[in-house]
Amino acid sequence: MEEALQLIANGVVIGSVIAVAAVGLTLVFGILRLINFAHGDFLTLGAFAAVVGTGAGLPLYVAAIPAILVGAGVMGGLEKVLWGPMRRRGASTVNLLIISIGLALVLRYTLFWIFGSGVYRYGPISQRIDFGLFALTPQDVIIVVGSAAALFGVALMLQKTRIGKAMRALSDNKDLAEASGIDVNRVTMITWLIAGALTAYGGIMLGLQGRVFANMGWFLLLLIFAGVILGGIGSAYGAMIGSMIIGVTQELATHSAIGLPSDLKTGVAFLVLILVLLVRPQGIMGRKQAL
Amino acid sequence: MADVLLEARDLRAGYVPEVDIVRGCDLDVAEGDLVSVIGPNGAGKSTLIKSLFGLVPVRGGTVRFKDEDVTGAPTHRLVAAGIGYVPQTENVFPTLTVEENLEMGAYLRPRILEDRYEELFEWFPILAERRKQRAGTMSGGQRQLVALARALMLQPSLLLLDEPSAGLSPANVDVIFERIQLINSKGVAILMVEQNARRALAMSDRGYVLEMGQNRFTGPGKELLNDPKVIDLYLGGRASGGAQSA
Amino acid sequence: MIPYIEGVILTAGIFALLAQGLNLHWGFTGLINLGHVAFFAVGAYTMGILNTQFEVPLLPSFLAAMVAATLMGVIVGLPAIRLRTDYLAIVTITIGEIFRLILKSGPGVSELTRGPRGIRGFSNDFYFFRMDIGLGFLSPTQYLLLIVWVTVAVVGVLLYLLIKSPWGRVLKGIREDEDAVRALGKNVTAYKMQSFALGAAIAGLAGVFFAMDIGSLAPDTYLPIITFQVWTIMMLGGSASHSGPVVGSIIFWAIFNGTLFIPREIISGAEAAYLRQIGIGALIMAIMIFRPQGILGNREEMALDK
Repeated sequence: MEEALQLIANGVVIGSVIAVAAVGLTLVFGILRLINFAHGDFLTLGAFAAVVGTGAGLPLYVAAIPAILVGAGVMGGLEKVLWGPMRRRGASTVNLLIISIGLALVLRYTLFWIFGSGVYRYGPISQRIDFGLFALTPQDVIIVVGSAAALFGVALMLQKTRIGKAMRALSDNKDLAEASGIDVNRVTMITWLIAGALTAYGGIMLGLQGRVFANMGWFLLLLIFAGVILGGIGSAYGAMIGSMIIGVTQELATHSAIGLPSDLKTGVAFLVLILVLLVRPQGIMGRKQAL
Repeated sequence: MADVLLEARDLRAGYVPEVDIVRGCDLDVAEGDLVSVIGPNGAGKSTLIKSLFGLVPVRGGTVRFKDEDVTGAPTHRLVAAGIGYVPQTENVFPTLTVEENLEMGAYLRPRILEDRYEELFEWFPILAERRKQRAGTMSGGQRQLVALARALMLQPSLLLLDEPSAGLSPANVDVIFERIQLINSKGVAILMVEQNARRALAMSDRGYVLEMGQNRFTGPGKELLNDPKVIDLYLGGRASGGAQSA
Repeated sequence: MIPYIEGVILTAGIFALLAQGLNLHWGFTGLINLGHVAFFAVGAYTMGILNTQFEVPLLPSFLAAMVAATLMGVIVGLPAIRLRTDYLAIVTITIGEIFRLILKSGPGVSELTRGPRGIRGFSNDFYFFRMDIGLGFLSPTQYLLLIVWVTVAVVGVLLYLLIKSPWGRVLKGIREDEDAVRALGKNVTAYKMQSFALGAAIAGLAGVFFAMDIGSLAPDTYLPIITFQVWTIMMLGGSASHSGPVVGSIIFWAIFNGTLFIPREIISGAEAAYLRQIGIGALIMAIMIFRPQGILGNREEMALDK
């Protein structure tokens, strides 16, 4: 029983990070129907941007700020010079998907180029704190709390603010949004900026686990897809729920009663992803629509 | 003599460059008018209304609104100028509540929200009861009311309706047409495309009968309703219009 | 120098085969397959395992490898029945990764595949065979090179004939408008599966040759990056063009290996490796943005603007 609780706790930690990244991905998908294969590498970008700051001696919470701005800026910049122009040229979502694969490679290996293949960290990893039923490092706790705060902020924005409602409206029915007078281009750009900031933040959360390296986001990408698809693509709340389920499930699968080798735990998430797409493609919170 | 609000002359429009669906149409809507456009399937009624709203490329002719040339103008400019539009299908934001749907309708002028809610909930009491309900969970008839209300949030002088009664049960058809007449009585000009030709013409100040993308007949609603040629062709003589008679 | 060029041409041949298979999936049928490396791996591993663990002679192992790859093609193709392109992309890459994980650490399987360290020792018979057919004057590499390129030619002709046939026309129809083809009464599912299966078989054969070239098998050779390299090659040469895979592969590997010659003083080996990957990514983007039809492709044939 204790083993299970510890695994669940671990799952909540990684699930939180996946959730933050997944919400960014699904927000963009909601308005553009674009599956961005470079999304994981934006996590890495955020994590490394913070490494630059901490490497210069800044505490993480200070270094995080320019890192988040960089993330938002790059995503917003790409909308302006790449995605927007390609959409206006009539590029299909498949064209854009393939472009995103190329972008992922460019981004990732530029980070390799700049930072090499080494592993970085923000600071020393502290001892695990015993919470009785399970143990987590202080960093893990920060990750869970920090992610929850960000997700709560996003939820609040989507529910209560005018721009949040416009984002949801655009995701529901772009033509109707336009017919209502909503400035689609502006809302699209704001969505990218929010997604960029959120993803960079997610990367920093991921990095807090103690290892920042150039492949970190890429390794998480399929898990993020799993979380998004399980939750229902296009639904931010779905992405949060789906990601937590994915995070916890893959950890629990390594329970001694089940006996799955730790190497294969991501395989469990992958199987969930495939099953969902075959059996209930709209996921938990999605609406039944032509996929 | 009411002022001309909308005036289209020799309008040509189509989705694909070589193929015009609207092939030279004239249209006039005066302030406070209720105008119907009827005709057989494929006549181009829907395309006509979409081309007036900037949703389908205009290839020729002119459109003037409030004495300004708006031929091919982008949608948001028309919304700002005072035109509202209700598409035939997918005309609400399903995951948004009724109230949020209306809020999006007034996106350009968020400050008038409270006043607008008040008036529209008066015109559509059922929406007041269900203001926090998600639009996607409402019945077809109720959704149509949400769609109408959303388009009215910015107090448009002209409302474009694409087949408002389509897919509704007979009881709901009554409700919709009754609401449309109410809205019109409040001074909003209405240009509607309808399959339900009889009902539409009966309540219209003027009607246009479209065929193959061109005007075929035009005149006051009641006259067209009683015109033997129109009856024969569209109102249940031998053709499609008969199936929808009230 | 000569052995070096032979090596490049050999690799180009293997990847030309891979691209021919992928071209069938994407170029001609419009199926976005991001798990192509899995067929490559299945071919290599089936041959390797049968030969080293079960002492199956070479030729049957080769055939079994192709059958296994075909089966894998059917498995990967099953989701394609229902899923639209973007989701198919995710599913195929995921299946590829699951497969690699199983090869590496799968309970039961990893005993057969020898886990992360892999398998060796299957290639000797293959090379000795060349003496038996009087080609002993060729070096092992030259021998393999000959076989690979003859295969590329044969497959090329085969695909050319198939695509011109009614079967091929249906595939192209599916690429353009699947619903229209279905409305004509064709069993779209069957055609998609056949396309997947055949393309996979070709990739499986490429896997066998690849294994012969390297002489060993390790799961982490078969990463998604290989799939992306094949995509680059196919797009570079021109999707839906018959000579595209050959042209694309030769150019790709010439440039790729060319970067190995950059002196260490200018950039280190590791940096050159990173630069190569950045180059691949940039190439993918550039092709898709500026010239989606690649070098030899035909703008009208592009399965893109759907």
